[in-house]
Amino acid sequence: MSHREKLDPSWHKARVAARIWLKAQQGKPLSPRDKRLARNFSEDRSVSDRLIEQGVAYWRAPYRTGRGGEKLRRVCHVVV
Amino acid sequence: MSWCSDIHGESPVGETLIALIAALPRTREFRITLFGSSPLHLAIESDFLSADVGLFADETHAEVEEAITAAGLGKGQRNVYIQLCAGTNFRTSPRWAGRVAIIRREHCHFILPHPIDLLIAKMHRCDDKDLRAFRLVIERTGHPTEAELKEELQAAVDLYRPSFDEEVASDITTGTRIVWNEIFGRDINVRQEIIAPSLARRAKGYEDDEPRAPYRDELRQHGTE
Repeated sequence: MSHREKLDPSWHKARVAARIWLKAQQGKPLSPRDKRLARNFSEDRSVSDRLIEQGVAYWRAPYRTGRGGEKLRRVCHVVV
Repeated sequence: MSWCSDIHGESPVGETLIALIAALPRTREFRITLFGSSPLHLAIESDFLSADVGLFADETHAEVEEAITAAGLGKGQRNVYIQLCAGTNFRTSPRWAGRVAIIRREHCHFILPHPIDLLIAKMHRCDDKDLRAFRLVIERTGHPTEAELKEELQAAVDLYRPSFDEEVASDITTGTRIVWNEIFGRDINVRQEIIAPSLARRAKGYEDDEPRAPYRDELRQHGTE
């Protein structure tokens, strides 16, 4: 049975911000939702540059396979 | 300078330590740290003597205590006696353990801290005898200079924190000023010259690493394109 991970809200937002930033870096078009979130995160003091950087490292980290065959990232979840 | 390489039985401290070695069981090895004046007596000046030989051996405290009592080496049992302390009695630089001399004699390893660490530990009390220790070490070795001692005290800045309520208050801040006046011939502003520069260095070590990109600025830009 899969379970939803409980994340610190700032870390959760930083991960989403990191995905949007990576998408832009890869030259992919950003959706109106991406753009709205990007603007929101840029104003959110809890989403610091340091935390977004950790989010970028999180998305770039390689996978390993879990016991149930699920893909797991080879990083620790950061709770700040 | 050459520090001490052996313990000789001719000196009162050496004789006391040799009696301790003989009293300690040979079933294991002992690591015993000397502090106070006795390492200076052993290594620098045999006339520099106090009645107690301060030492600690925290891992084997009970066995050493038993041997001291059994051999009649404790306070009230002889003129030069052993004062068995705890390691926390030796309040000195955090660097001390990295610059000790170790003398092995039979099954005992005697650890002699560096003179600078012995002197720093004396600054809490800083009475006439402690100042004599400063003068003796400087006369024989040329160290510590004012700059060296200041740098060492900056590295040991936590010694300047207030005492616990349960402790007999010691005042290294006053001790520092006494040393500077008596040894270096000037007053010192401890807060300005020792505590503040040290805390500034420590704060720098806690600074966050700079992120590799201005992520928030770039997100703002992408959001408005």
